[in-house]
Amino acid sequence: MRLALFLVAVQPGPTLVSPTPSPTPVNTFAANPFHVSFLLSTLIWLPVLAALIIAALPNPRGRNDRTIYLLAFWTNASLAFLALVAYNQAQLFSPSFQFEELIRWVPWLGISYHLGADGITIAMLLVGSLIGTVSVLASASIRERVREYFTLLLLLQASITGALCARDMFVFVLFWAAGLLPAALLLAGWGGPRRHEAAIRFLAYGAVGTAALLVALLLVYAATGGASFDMNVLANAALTPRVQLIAGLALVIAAATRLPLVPFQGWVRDALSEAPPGLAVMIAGIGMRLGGFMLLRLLISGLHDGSRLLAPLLGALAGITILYAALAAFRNDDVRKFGAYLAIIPGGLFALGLAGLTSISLLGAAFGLITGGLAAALAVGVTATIAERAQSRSLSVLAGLAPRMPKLAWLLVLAGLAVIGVPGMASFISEVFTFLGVFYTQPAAAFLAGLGMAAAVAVVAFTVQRVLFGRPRPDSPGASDASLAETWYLGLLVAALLWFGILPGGPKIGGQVTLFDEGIVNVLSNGSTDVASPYVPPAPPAPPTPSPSPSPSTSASPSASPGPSPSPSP
Amino acid sequence: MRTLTLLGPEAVVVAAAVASLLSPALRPRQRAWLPAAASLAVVLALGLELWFGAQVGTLFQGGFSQDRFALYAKGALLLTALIIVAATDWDPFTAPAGIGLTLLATFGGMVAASAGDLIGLWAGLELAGLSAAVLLGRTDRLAARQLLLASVGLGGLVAVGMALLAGSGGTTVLADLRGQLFQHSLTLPLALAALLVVGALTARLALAPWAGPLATGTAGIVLLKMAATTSALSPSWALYVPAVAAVAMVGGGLAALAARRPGPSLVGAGMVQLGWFLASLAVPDRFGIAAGLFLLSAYLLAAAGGPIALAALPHGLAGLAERGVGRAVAFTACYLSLAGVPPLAGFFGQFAVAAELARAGLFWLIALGVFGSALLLFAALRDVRLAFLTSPGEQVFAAPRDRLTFAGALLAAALVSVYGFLALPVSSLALQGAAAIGLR
Repeated sequence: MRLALFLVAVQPGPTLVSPTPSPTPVNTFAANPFHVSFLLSTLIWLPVLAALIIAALPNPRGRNDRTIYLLAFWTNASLAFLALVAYNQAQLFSPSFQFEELIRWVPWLGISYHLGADGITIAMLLVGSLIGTVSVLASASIRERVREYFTLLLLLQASITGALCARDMFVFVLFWAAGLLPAALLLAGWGGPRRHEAAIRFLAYGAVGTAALLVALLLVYAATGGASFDMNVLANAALTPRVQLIAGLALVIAAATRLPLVPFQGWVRDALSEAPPGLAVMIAGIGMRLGGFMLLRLLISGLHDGSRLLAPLLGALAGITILYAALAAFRNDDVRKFGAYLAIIPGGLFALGLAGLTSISLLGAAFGLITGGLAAALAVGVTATIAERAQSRSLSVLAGLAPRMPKLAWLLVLAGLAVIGVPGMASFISEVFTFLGVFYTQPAAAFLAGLGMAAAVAVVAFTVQRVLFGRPRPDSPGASDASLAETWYLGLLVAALLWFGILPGGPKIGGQVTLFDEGIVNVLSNGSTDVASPYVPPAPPAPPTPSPSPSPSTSASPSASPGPSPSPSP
Repeated sequence: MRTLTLLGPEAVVVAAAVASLLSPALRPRQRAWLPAAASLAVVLALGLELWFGAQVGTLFQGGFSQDRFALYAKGALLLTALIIVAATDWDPFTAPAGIGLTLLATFGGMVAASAGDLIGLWAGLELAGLSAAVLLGRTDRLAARQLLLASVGLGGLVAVGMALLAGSGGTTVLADLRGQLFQHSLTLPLALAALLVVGALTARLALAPWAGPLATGTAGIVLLKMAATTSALSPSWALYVPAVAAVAMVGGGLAALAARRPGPSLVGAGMVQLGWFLASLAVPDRFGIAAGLFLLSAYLLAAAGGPIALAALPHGLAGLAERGVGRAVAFTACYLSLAGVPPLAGFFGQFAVAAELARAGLFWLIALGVFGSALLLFAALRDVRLAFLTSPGEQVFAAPRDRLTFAGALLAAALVSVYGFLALPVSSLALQGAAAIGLR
């Protein structure tokens, strides 16, 4: 009895506060096949559970390596299925966050376990789970300490998913920082010859980013009276422009260490070129996008004055980053570093879209998170595979590979096209949206970025020509084409890029009935419309119309308040 | 009857300590059961504390006070003692003294946690300190002698400071003294007395590498109680405490980074976390002290488990996971918790302190703390990589296997891992604890 009283006194146990049931769209074929109450928690904690099972699995002399691999693969496949369910059930044209879960955690600090997903998050979750599956497939060649490898990989994936779903800043920071050590350990344990330097550099930049994020978070928390870490509360707080500027600057630094943006790009080259292919794909595909996602969610959504003040800086950094990545890719002689530099470009384009602060550029940026992740993952994945299959990383040794590895040759071409954004590839749409929006508000940055993209096109064309169709060197080591697992993981990325590129509005029967895919752009615009609404200029007052008999009902002008712009439905 | 129930946990711990100290009279085979029996006694004491500790009351004319603070602090100390007793690989010949002294140190901490007056506080502090010194003397006599000297010297300073405060306030009962001090204006003698107590207790925290978690935890508990009692005099240590905290946070991080062996690295990590704990005193209100209490318990669990997992490892960390997975997991979890890596206990505690510092506008202290913790990340990467990702090499013996030590190591790892998930009840109790010692 006394114990019971004590337990009541300290208010133990989670208190669930009105989780929103999974929404059900009405006009979608095969929508809502089943109901998952805690969909987002399942997406986060299922890989943790799998990681714990794998860690506890006895594996004497690697006898269970295959089982562990399959366990990791099916965990990711299940996650992809669940993410597809979330994507399929996402309610379009509903501005609120969906699949919300809210549990009080540390009430006196205003911390709650609050998860939620809007269109951007749902699309990111879908791509994140796809990248996770691809990452496991790319790790098929791991032979040493398989148990530890997949344990860490699943923990990394869970941390990224958690950060994507967080609606509480504490939860966001928790997951953001939790992924650092598993990634660094994967890099240090299974990376290339310079893995230790790469891991330390990765950790250093990650620590700087986390510190900057913490500073921004605590600054906003203190400025709002220290009542809550909930993003809804923080986003609606009235903060002075000075606080917004300082916090926004810290957020830009935090994001710049992840995306990355110049001058915080130092870790990318080493990390992506030394990491095992599975980790490289995970980092480039979704890990780096997390920086952009954070910027969109916290800076653009929450600090409107800060965003306006920092937009020129963000635009300049974006332009410089793209130009730097293209030039650095041109100057280096390592095929994996070439892939790593290409993977920087989508981050720059994303930042450019944010700097535009127009609804179309923000939609482009949000779409760029998806397409940039896929393109970057493809670029680092295919270059890592080429280096492995050709037994050399040197671009001066690798030449004339197309006849010897036709599949990889095609994939390299497609990776280059995906990064530079040619029509047919999903990245094309995001880049068009981005540039269309940015040229209005940040013409200088757009011009700089355009220059960088032109350089990137030249670099990709030159390198592809050299590696695939150049004259083979007689002393180059033997090369073989991609294995089945490699073809699958790279093929999945290409398929996703083509699917979203060709059918951004989703497949429709007779142009009316939506099939299983609502259309990535429609899902994304569900979130980006909300994000962009504060930046939409108020509609100009309607000119007075001469009327012979003015009456209140006919002379009323349309409302000038900024409302959400209609969602595009290509 | 009521007296007995309130004192039940203390009685069980003292009885177990005395029995353990007397157990050399037993045959060696019977002594082998001592760690298990002592662990059971600690579990029983913890159960009694949770069962009866929820009731609030005072005994011995205010000298013993059972409140939420005492409940929280004693619970944390008993869990720490359980980890130490269960996870340590005791030598059958020295186990009676080792376990007995560990339990005595726990008892000292419990006395301090429940103390309603200055005398009880000081007595508990000294009992824990002396037990820790004698415990260290079993393995390193020189260090034990130095620890004893330092403890006695600092204990003397604490006593002088407490006597000055009691003389000014006209009482030794903490609640009354607190009220009296609020009626005094801050004079130089009062400020010096408060600074003397806080300074000496802070210095006792710095003895953590030698004194161990129980004596350090006791010093932390006394420090929190004295900070609450002298919160009216907080301007006297408003500069000193943040400065020491900053030095501990940055210095500990640098020390961990520079360390060549895992032991010193762990010590550096502990110093960083103690720095965070001290930083919480820079906000001497209910929320600041609650954050400090919340972090202190996280520190105690990790500081107990980490060094034990490392003990008697002649070949260092290389390939520890292959030699003893329980030790490797416990070491990693405790180390990362001390480093403030999410989602382990230390991260939650440090974040709570950081939030309170932010509320108070002490951003420079947060920045230094984050810097110190960031330094620890590199040390953690190095050591965890050694433990899990390197080969133990040839001629390396496996770590001793014993069910109890394995369970103890896993208990430490489990506690620091689930701490954050239990943050709702734990942090609420910490807040109630801070309110119980008179803070608003």
